[in-house]
Amino acid sequence: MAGSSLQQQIASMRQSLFDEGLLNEQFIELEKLEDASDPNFVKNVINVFLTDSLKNVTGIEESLLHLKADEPLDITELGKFLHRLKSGCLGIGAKKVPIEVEKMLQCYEAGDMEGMKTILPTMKQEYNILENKLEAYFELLPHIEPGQSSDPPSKGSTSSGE
Amino acid sequence: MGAAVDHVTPMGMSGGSAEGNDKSEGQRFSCKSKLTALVADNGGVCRAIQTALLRSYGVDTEAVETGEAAVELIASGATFNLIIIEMLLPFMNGPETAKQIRAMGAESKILGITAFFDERDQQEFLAAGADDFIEKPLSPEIVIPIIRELDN
Repeated sequence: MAGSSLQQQIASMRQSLFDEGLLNEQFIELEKLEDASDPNFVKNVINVFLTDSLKNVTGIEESLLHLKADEPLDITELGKFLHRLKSGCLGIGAKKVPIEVEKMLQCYEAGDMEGMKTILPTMKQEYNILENKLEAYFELLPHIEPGQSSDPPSKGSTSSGE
Repeated sequence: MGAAVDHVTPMGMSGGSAEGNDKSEGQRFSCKSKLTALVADNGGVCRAIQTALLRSYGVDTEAVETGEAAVELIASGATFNLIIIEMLLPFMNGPETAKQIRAMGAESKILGITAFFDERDQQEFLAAGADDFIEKPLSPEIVIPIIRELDN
């Protein structure tokens, strides 16, 4: 049946988020917070995450690029962008992006602007991968009919409720 | 710089079950007493998640985006058993917020929270009157013992 096929697709996509190391158990904790009184809680949080993260990634990039143009760098603002990005990532259970942000924060604390610029492309790449995967996953979810579940139909290595 | 106060539902969330949802312990957990909490975090994601987590354990939780809003709320007479304050709040930072809250005589348990642990920040927060300083994300493993302590 089409519904079952869609469920399988959603479950598979969800599992891949964990298998590919994009998300950790914190995402499951996030899912646990969703209930009948707010069935769109996770999707709403992810939407906020994606909106805020885009601003923060853009802010980080623009702050670092100002160095090239010999424009004064607002170092405090750069630090805030990094903190906010890492904060959001930790909240939703993103795994790879905060690792790169952490490296940038270490450089930031050491005053190593060149180090931050070196890490920036990798951080952006990891964020773009996460963003695309999350958008694709949540694009499918509204198509679940009431009564259907997005939980994996068979036992998986990581599933909601474990 | 407005005082943005979210009393009800950050992002439309109407709160978790009062029965709790601590499936990690294999049983439902919920506070026995009527506990209240305040979350001060300028990040929408963390504000929503921390609020939902506390509400899922039956804690009546409000959320604000700035330290100023937190201070205004308490100055207006609101009391909270637990206050969770982000380190890098805009304008008035976390430690300054904690300091002002303590200066008003609030005896709440204050938890400083951060995305990037730094010992200097920890010392600053504790010196300002926070009871503890932790790294994000706020997890059931951290929250449940605190709620139990407040419950008793």
